[in-house]
Amino acid sequence: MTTSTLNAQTRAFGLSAAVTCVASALLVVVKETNEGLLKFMKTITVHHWVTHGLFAVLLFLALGLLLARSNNGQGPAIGDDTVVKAVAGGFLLGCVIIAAFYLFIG
Amino acid sequence: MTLAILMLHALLGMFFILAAGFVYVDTLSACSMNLNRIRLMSRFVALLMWVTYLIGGYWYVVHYAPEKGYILKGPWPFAHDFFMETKEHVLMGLLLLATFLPIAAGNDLVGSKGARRLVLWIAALLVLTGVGVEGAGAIISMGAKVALLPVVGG
Repeated sequence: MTTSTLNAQTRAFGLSAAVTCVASALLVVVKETNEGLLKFMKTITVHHWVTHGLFAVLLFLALGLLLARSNNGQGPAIGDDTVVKAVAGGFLLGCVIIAAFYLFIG
Repeated sequence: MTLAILMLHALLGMFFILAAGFVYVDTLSACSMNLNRIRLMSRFVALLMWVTYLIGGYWYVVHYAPEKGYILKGPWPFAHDFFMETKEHVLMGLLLLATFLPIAAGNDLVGSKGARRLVLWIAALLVLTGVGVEGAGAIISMGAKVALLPVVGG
C-alpha cells in the first residue's frame, strides 16, 4: 500500500494536470499536421486556439474529478514523490514537445 | 484601446510571476503563521493567470491577425512562427498548473514535506515559464516593430 501525505484531490488533479499537459501538446502536433482537424476545431468555436483551450480545461477537470473518485473515493494510490514527478515531468514534457515541434517541424 | 489591452496582459503577467515567486519564498519557511497567506496567495496566482489568459486570448483572437501579417512579411518571421505559436500553447499548461496550485496549497504544508515540495515545484515552474513567456512576448512585439520600421538607407 502506497502512503501519501497529500489529499485525494491533490493526487487526482496532479495526475490530471500531467496527462492534460502532454495531451494538449500532442493535440498541437496533430492539429498542425492535420488540416481537417484544424478546420473542425475552427468550426466548434471562433478560433482553433479557443477550442484547444476548452479541450485542455475540460479534460483537466473531468480527469481530475474522475481520478479523485477512483479507488473507493480515496483517489489514486500513489506517493508524494510520484505526484511531484508527474506534475513537473508532464508539464516540462508538454513544453518540450510544443517548442520542438515549432522549432523543427511547424 | 487594443494597445491598452496588450499592456494589461503583459502587466498582469508580471504580477502573476511576482505572486508565484512570493508563494515559492513563503513556502520555503511554511509554518502555522504564514499558512493562510500561502493559500490566499496561491488562489491569487490562479486568479491572475486566468485573467491574464482571458485578456491575452481576447487580444490574440480579435486583434492579432493584422500584426501577424506584418510579422510574417518582416525580417523576424520567427517571432510568430516559433515564439507566438509556442507561447500560445505553452500558456495552456501554465494555466492548468496555476489552477492546480491552490489545490496543492490546501494540503498540510507545515507537517508534510511532500506537500511543500509539490508547491515549491509548481511555483518554481510558474515563475520560470512565466519569465520565458514574458520574454517571448517581448520578441513578438519586436518582430512587429522591425517589420514596420522603414528600411534605413534602403
